[in-house]
Amino acid sequence: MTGFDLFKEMDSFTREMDQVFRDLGFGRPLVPGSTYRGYPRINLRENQDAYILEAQLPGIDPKALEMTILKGTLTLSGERKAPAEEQGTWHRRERGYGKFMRAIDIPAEIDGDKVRADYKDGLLTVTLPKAASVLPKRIEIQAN
Amino acid sequence: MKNNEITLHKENSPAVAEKDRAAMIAPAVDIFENDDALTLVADLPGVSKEQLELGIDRQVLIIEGRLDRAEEGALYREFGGNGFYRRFHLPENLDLNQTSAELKDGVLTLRLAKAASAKPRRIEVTVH
Repeated sequence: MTGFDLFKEMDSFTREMDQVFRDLGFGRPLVPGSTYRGYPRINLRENQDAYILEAQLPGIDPKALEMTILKGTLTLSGERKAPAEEQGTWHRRERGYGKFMRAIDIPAEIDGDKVRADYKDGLLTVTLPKAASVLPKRIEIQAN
Repeated sequence: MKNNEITLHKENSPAVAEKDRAAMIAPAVDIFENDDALTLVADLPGVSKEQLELGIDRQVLIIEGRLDRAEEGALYREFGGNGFYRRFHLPENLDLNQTSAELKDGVLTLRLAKAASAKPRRIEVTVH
């Protein structure tokens, strides 16, 4: 109806690389609010021991999600299937369909063996534990 | 144009003095109509059944998904944690007693059946 092809829009983002995380740590301020860079939308936060990535993936079979980590880059790909066409009229079609892929650079070294991913209510949460080499170490001071 | 086609009106302009809802996002929806029903599909990622509020009040459908998310330590954000809110003006010729809703993997599917009087009827022509 709007002449706006969402399928195309999703596809054009597929090979986009996220520069954002590279910019982290170089003193550039983060823009508050949201910056839409592709599909799915992601949030990244950090706590003491891990990075936590959340991706909005409603209506996706988690088994069909492909996730790999290579040299600090997490790649997420999959497909959201369009519903079967029936006889009738579409009044709105805002939800996108099609294949997607996103590559996300994780700002520090992570322990690839301990990464955990959970899918619940259309939200994918990936916990990426920081590698021991980047965790702060407490140094005991000897009092003589 | 078919006579019995149901048109959905644009949702009402957001009500004032609802600061809470101003921060909420309108979910993406698909609306499909066939002879029997209108089907509305909405993306509500992260919303559980307990957080979803669905209501129909005087022909206005309200979809509200409240979220309460941890925001500490955010490094990068593309979506907020305030939830979803959207309203639609429903056509009159629906049988609202037959409405069914399902929420699965953050996708709401709402089926609004048409009233019997709004369904197309086939008229048999008898040849003598």
